[in-house]
Amino acid sequence: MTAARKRTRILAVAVTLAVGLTAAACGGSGDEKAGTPAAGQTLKMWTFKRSHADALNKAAAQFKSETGIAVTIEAVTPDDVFVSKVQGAAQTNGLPDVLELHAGGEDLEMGASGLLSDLSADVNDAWKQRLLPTTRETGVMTQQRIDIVANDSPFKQVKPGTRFSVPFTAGAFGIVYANKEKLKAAGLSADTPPKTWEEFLDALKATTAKDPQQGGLSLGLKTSQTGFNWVYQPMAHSYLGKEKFQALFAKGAAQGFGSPDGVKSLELYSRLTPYWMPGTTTLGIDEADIAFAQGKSAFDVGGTFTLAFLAQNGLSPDKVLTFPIPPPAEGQNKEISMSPLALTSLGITSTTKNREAALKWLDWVTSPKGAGVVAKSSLDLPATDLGAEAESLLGADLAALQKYFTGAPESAYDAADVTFFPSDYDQVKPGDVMVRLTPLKEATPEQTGTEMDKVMGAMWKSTQ
Amino acid sequence: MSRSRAARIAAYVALAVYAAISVYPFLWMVSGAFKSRTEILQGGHLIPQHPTLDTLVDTWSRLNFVQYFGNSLIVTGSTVIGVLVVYSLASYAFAVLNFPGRKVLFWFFVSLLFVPGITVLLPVVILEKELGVLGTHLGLVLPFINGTAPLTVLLLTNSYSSIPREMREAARADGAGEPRIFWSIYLPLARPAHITIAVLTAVPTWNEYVLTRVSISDASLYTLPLGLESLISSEVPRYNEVMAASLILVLPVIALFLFLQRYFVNGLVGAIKG
Amino acid sequence: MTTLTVKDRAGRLREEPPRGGRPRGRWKEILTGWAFVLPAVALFLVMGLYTIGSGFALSFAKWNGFTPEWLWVGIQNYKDLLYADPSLAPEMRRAAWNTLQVMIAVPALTVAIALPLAVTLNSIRRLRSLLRSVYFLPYVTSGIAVYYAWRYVLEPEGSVNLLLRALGLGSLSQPQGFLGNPSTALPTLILILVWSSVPVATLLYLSGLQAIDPNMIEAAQIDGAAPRHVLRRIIWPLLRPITAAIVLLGVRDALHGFQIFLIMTGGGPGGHTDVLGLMTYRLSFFKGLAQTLGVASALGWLLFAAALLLTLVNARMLRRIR
Repeated sequence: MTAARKRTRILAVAVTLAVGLTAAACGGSGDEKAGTPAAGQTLKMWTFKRSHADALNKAAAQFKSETGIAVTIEAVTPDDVFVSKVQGAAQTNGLPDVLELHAGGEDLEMGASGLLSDLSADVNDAWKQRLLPTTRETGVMTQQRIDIVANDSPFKQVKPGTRFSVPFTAGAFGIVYANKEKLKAAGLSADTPPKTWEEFLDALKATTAKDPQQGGLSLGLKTSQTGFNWVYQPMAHSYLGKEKFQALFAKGAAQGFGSPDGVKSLELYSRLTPYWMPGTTTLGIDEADIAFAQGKSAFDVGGTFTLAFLAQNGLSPDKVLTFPIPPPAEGQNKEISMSPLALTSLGITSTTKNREAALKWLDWVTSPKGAGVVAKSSLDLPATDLGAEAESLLGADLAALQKYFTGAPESAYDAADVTFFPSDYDQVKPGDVMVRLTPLKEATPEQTGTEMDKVMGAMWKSTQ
Repeated sequence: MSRSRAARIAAYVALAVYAAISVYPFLWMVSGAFKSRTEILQGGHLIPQHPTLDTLVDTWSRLNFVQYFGNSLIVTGSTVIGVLVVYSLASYAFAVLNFPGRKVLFWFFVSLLFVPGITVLLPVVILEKELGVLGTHLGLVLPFINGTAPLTVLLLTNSYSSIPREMREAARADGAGEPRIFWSIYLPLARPAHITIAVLTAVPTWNEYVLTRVSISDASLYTLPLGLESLISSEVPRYNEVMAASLILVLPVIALFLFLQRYFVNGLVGAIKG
Repeated sequence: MTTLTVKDRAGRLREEPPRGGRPRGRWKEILTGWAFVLPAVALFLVMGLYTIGSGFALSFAKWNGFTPEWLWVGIQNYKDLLYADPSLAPEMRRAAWNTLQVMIAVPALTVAIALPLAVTLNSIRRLRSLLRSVYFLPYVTSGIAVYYAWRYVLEPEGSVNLLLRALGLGSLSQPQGFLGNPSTALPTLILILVWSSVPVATLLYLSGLQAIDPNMIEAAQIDGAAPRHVLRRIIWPLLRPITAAIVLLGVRDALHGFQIFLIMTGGGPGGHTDVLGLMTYRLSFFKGLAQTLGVASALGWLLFAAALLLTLVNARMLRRIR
């Protein structure tokens, strides 16, 4: 390493001397740690989620009483500042012992860059068995991930099978929430979810006819990729089937978005146009959920985490009907289920002096007991399978959402599978294109198909 | 007479209209601080229907105000003083002294205005680690002072340049040296400009979050924005607390402004008459 | 002192100060000059040189911020942004067009509002300090409050739409809200940016006006000069450099600023309010943490070059106005 580092030091020292400024007087932040893992030591952990920090603090208190190891949690928000803080700490040898990270990308990038310690020998089968099946391999660098990245990516230096993190929280996107009162007011059944995409559109049509201002669909399209990720992708996945769906994104776009099937799927999606809540493009994700909770829309699309959020905003779960984005009638898959994916995961830094203690903490906090403590006070589902405890820990309504997690493997939509994306995949770009299709109506499905192929093609090309 | 009166009324009307536009979002901030969480989520009403002090009191009591306020005061105060000392000297040289490199140096400082800030963050952290000031208040003050260089140099140089040269010549004829002229003529005469610089430096420094968050780890050194952020950045947005926190953060700045306003009078007139 | 004339005081930088007489006095003056700038230069050498140099060097490298080593790529980052990368270059062009509109409109409107505001404020007696404080408020209002306040006004059922409909101008109202319609979103953001930059501009103008000797204006008025002439001959020449500073600040904010765009629209709807500052921000933090810090830096330095160029043109233009 250190060509750059050495240069820094020489430069800084030279400059300091030249100017005669002896700035060292104020001392550093001094965090010397004991070398041996034992009771009475303190671990440091950073997370990017404030709500997790509160939950983790509770868990840490219990962990301390059991093991004598203290864990201090620091929440660094928002995400961009968290990233900067980790970058700064990585360059100045100031990383904490444990990090909570976005799963399935951030953990691999930081791990490949040398920040995280390999856990593959520590996370044994028994440990993996605790986790929801679709999240077990999250945090592991696979040959496939190594193959698709550009040649100069740090991924290339990593041995396949290296595990940089353990899944911590999980969830699924593409869950529709409907306001039961509004369904009834529009003459619809409040207990039977729409079976097909077409029935869903009919329901939207009925609620918007009943109440044009407050009968539509809300979604936080200020984050433009929500429409693409949460609605279009599960819908297109069930309509086209897994293979054709993945082919949409493929290099060369032989069966891309501009193909007849692709255009048809875009056309299906664009049928939402008349039913969006007015101004939904200006709302953030939380604001769209709040609007729904306040009765400003009849439908809302979110994830498993949305249910608790709605309840916190005054809409109790018994007033909403939930269902996954329904499959189009003429599609490949008549059933749909959502594979839960790991949302966040935990990693141990490579510079920690307390690896043993850190490992103990990870083990404990992803055990049913520890995960239960966290789940109870945060809005997210744990990646740990809580089994029979789930209902008592999560509440009946959130536990009930788990029924959408199980289904035939071929019809399960797995949002964590990113292996078919361009390696330089940037979801904002397709997200923007889809917003221009609907609600903005600036492009037809054909034009959108062409445009999407162009966007994907450009992302494939730019990593040659 | 009636024409000038009409003009005056028109002027007041125009000023009042713009005052309303200026104050409007600020009123939202104040009103939000007096709303309960349920009420703020309903939105819509500027005037709280069920005004409550609970939000402010609660936010206040959870905030370690005295300590964080003290830290903020140290950081902002040192920055403002540093800026005024370092760049008033430099600007004086740029405005009235004659030495080689003057122009180049002046334009160099001004051009720093356009340096992209976003990629400077990591180098600052690395450099401060090497200098041993990472995570200290000094480690905040130094880059903050340096960061105001372009604007301050531009404005103060301009301000010093507009002070009549005759006054300087007269003082020189009386045998005063440059430090004396600077101290007893330029500093008092350019008072409005100094006040302006103080305000323009103090406000962003007082509110600074990113560098402070990235470099400070020791909670006893936290400044107010860090303390507030740790209260309000919960998963479920509590906008009433955000507003209350913003209000608590900003009130000292407004107090400072009101205080400094008294000195924001015509320096030239004051000096000549005095 | 009422005989001071404007000409004598317009000693701007480009006019050489009178030279010291004898050689010894000359040396002394040089040393004095350097002594006065020393603290500023020293601070820059300590804090600025390395950070800026390193930021600039980064624009020739690929880096994700985590690895100890950079990957040198020469001018590839610049090439990618300008034409070579099929993904980045079109994004950059689109954002550049939006940025250009902001860069022209915001400084122009800011000056057009702040200058009359300051002059009027300076000419009244009653309520002066109260109004001065009120005009200052946008500068200290937090971003989230700004967002909330304007959102309620601009949303589909917001007061602007209600007002338009009440006035029988329903055709001008925006059913998707002013930020939801691609053709009104950018102009709306421009107005909000102007709103937030007027306080500083007004403050600067006021401090400039404070430095004008009122006796001088009085004398001119006694001599029979029309208010228009007073404004043009006496006030404007003194405010011209301040105007230049305000324009520079506006250009800087248009090129590097992203906060308001991030909070209000996030570049939306559908990317219609994407600007270069926001693009730099995304490249720095939200490209899946890929090795894009170098590209972000390159974009920043392209903007630096553009701003310098504009400043030069600007300086010429403002000089010509006089």
